[in-house]
Amino acid sequence: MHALEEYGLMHVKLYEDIARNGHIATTYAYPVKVEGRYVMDPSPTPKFDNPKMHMSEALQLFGAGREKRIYAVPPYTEVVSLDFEDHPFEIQHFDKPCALCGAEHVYLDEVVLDDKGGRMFVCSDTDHCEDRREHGHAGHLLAQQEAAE
Amino acid sequence: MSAVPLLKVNDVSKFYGSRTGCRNVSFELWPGEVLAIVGESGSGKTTLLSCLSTRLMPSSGIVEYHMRDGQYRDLARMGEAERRFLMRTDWGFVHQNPADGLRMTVSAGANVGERLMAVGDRHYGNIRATAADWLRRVEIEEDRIDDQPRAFSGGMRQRLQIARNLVTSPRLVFMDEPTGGLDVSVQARLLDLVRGLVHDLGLSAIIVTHDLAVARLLSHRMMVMKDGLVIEQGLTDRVLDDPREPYTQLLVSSILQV
Ligand SMILES: Nc1ncnc2c1ncn2[C@@H]1O[C@H](COP(=O)(O)OP(=O)(O)OP(=O)(O)O)[C@@H](O)[C@H]1O
Ligand SMILES: [Mg+2]
Ligand SMILES: [Zn+2]
Repeated sequence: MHALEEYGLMHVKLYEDIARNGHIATTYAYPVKVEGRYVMDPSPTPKFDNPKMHMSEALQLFGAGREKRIYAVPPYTEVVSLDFEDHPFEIQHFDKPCALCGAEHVYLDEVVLDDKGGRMFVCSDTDHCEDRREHGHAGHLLAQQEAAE
Repeated sequence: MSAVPLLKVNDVSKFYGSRTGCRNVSFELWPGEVLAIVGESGSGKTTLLSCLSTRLMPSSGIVEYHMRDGQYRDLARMGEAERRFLMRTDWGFVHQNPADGLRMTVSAGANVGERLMAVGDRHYGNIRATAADWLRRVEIEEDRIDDQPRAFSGGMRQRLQIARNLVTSPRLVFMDEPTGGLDVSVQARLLDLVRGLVHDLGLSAIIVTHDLAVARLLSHRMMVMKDGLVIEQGLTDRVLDDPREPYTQLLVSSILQV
């Protein structure tokens, strides 16, 4: 986490992103402002989960590898994603729930299934996904497989 | 020019261990005034500039700046955050080597836009438009806006560094040998550009140079340094046309010029 100094720099990254891609294409390490004062890169949290950091009731820990330090964001802290007025912060929208566990409102990764264009979207957080499946949740792909067996 | 100095420098010295960087320097800089600091290599020009711009902490003496709110502030007593804010809004610093003042791996547009973002500009379209406007003002083709300065010539890099510094309309700009590393023809063009911008924007500037022609072209007033001391100061034309100190006479008669 960087107080003030690197503030402009984080926005520079977003500027470059728009200049290159026409929109903010950053999906990971998407910078946030904490308590209106500190700017940090919340890796490994995906951008999709940035909004969940805001006023979270949990203590959140982040490791800044390069600086060999750990930063803590206390519970109920204001965490706002940086953006531009004409390119506001937006999270990705997924049309379907996780193909394996059926979870909604979670960040999904695209997985290619075969060389015929088959693909599925599954939880990016694999621990959480497994946990849900162990507790009996099933997405459409898992349900199909079970039906076939 | 308003009625009070922008910068008040009182008895500033800087020692590196037992070696003298600069000694007992006092002067005032007025709004809209361009001051040249000249002297041969090792005379303390960069040391003094660094002490004035808070890049170095003086060993003794006081540097006070007239803030936009009308108050004088002792720069050495300013908090880190406030000092940084001052440096990237109200001040500019143009390095001899553009690579020291630019981000070489981000685009020209972002190099210029960074200060705008640092002071809270949050509209991408406006930031980009302002950056494009500044590229034009420093004679860089607008279609280079997404190129990195790595792909620029030395002269273009220096002009980009100037645009990056001036975009927030600073009141005071420090320059250390701004034309130092450039070809003579490129130097002339850059000096012309700097002179125009300083005039149009009503900037105050402190320019370190060992080139008396640069001092002549850009500055209203000049200080001559030798062995860390200011040995002569006055209006540029007076010092160059009628130097009082024997050392300055040598310097002007080009015997000491590099
Ligand atoms: N970091 C340092 N540590 C020790 N001595 C230094 C340091 N920086 C400068 N000096 C010494 O302080 C004196 C003034 O140096 P300074 O760099 O200010 O001169 P200058 O006028 O800018 O020279 P130049 O024209 O070569 O850039 C010199 O004797 C120099 O060796
Ligand atoms: Mg120097
Ligand atoms: Zn899942």
